Amino acid sequence: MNPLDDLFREGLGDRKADVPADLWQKIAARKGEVPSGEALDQLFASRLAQRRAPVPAGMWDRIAAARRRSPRGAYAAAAGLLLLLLGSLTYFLGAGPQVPGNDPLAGSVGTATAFPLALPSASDDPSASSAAVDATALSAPPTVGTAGGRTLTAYPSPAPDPARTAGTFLDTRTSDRPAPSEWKQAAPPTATAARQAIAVPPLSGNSEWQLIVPPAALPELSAVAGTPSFRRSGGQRLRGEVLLGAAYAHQRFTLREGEDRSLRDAREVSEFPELSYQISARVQYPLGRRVTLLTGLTYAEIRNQLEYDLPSNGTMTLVRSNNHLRLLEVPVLAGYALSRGRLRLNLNAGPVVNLFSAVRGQYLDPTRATPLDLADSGHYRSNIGLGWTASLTTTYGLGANHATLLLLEPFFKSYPRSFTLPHAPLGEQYWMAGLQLGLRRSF
Amino acid sequence: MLSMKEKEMIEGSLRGEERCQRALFERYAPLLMGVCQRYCRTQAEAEDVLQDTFVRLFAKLNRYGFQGSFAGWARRLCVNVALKTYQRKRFSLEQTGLDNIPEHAGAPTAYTDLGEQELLDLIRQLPDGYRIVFNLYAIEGYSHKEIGEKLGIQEASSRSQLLKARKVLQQQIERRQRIAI
Repeated sequence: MNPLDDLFREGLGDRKADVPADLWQKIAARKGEVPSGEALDQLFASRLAQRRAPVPAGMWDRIAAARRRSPRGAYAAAAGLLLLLLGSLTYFLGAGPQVPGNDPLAGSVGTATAFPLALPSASDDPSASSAAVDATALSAPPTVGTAGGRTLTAYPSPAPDPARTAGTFLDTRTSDRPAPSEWKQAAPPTATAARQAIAVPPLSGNSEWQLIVPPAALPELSAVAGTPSFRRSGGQRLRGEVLLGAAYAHQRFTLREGEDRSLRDAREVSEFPELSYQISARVQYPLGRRVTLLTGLTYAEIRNQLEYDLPSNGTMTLVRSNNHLRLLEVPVLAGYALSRGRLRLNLNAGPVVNLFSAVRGQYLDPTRATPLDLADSGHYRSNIGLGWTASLTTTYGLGANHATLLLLEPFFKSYPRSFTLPHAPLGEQYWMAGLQLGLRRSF
Repeated sequence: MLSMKEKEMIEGSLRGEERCQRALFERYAPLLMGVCQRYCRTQAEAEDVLQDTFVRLFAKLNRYGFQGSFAGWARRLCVNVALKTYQRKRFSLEQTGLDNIPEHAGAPTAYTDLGEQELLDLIRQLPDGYRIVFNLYAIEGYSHKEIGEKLGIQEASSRSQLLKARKVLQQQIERRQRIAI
């Protein structure tokens, strides 16, 4: 045993040091019951409710950039387009089926014009029977009169269309005309309107009466199932159109998993949408009375502005440049015609097949002192695949024969796929909303 | 009652003067950042929510109408933005469990010595549902009925989430305290 060890053991082994008097109070305070219930709430609320936290540098710039890129205008345009679409659908669907725009008579159908109809007088004098009957009085029961020794029966008729009644005169002087007695026995206007006959005075003033068959008497050939019809000529079937339009393109960045968000922040605060545009050349092919197929080629250019401060000689200079995303694509759209009177609308929707895409411009990378080239980054696809588009085309006839139509077309286009490759740190997606003007011509 | 300077800032912001908007931001951003940090699990999420809050604040400033405290109005807006952010993520109130809470979070501390940062860390470790209900009830002062309406859940669910949140917080504090002693 070491004597030094013994010395310390004997001196300090049983030593009892003084305990501070407040030690137990301190332990008791620390060991106190952790508050529960409302008291626990109070503990947190008292210290955190009014807590102020440091705001990260650059937050104001982020907010300013986010406010600038807030697409309120685009939303308003999209909402307007939607309202227009809904309004049109309500209007047309509520009005029932209409004659499609290809029918040259479509514009005159349904126009309730007063059409004077002459009824024979009781005096048997055709010249005296010029009293005009307004078409509004045609709800009256059939009128029986005599003319030239014959009895004529006039049935009420809806307002006739002069365009349709032209050529429908039946000359009673023809040799195979039915006997007057047969006229009187004509069937009442029940099943077909063809039995409606209205007596009118002769155009040439002779004593013979003529029958005019009202428009309702003509069966709507196209409405009769199985009625043979002529195939439309090629000139009526195919139409070509060119359109040019401006658009807003909404850019959205998404952070890929595991990537640094500083790049996304830098790009969001430095890139802003500019006016984009697209040019289209399309062919419209009618597939039915209302349905058309629309395809062609579209060149679209999405434009963004890059803005950043460049330090030079101790001062900051604002630098602006443009970024371009160029797209060549084939739209394949199904169109549905909605027509009423002079107004012609076509609702189009379908996929857009991207043939080629290219990028030109620069972007900010927070790890680099100068902007980097978008094309050289190797992050962008050369083909972005499928997108989809919807548009509403209104037309206005130009010229005397309306051979050329002026087109006005609000459109919306979306690209669900990212413009960047999977290995890129950021996903970049777009949608576009815009307005196109164009011309359509049959050929 | 709004101070004159604050009223001028708001009126200027309504006129679109960037100087006033920036002044308003500088005055209220720290307070709203504090709110965002309580509702968000990470600093990055909190920054995104703060950004969205100010974008919406300037867009909806005309709805303020100078009725009541501007700080309170801005704070309510911030809470709504934070809730929307988490609703987009479709957090599940009932399914979130305690599995993600670390066993030994933070330095050993007695509860009386817990500072703002420690308390904030404790809240941020809670599962989404617990954290949001606890924030709304204990700190913002919403009732369970209001929380139910805001989150689209039953009142009973809100009560249940609060009780669970309290229990987790209490356990976490006790654990730290045992280590400290």
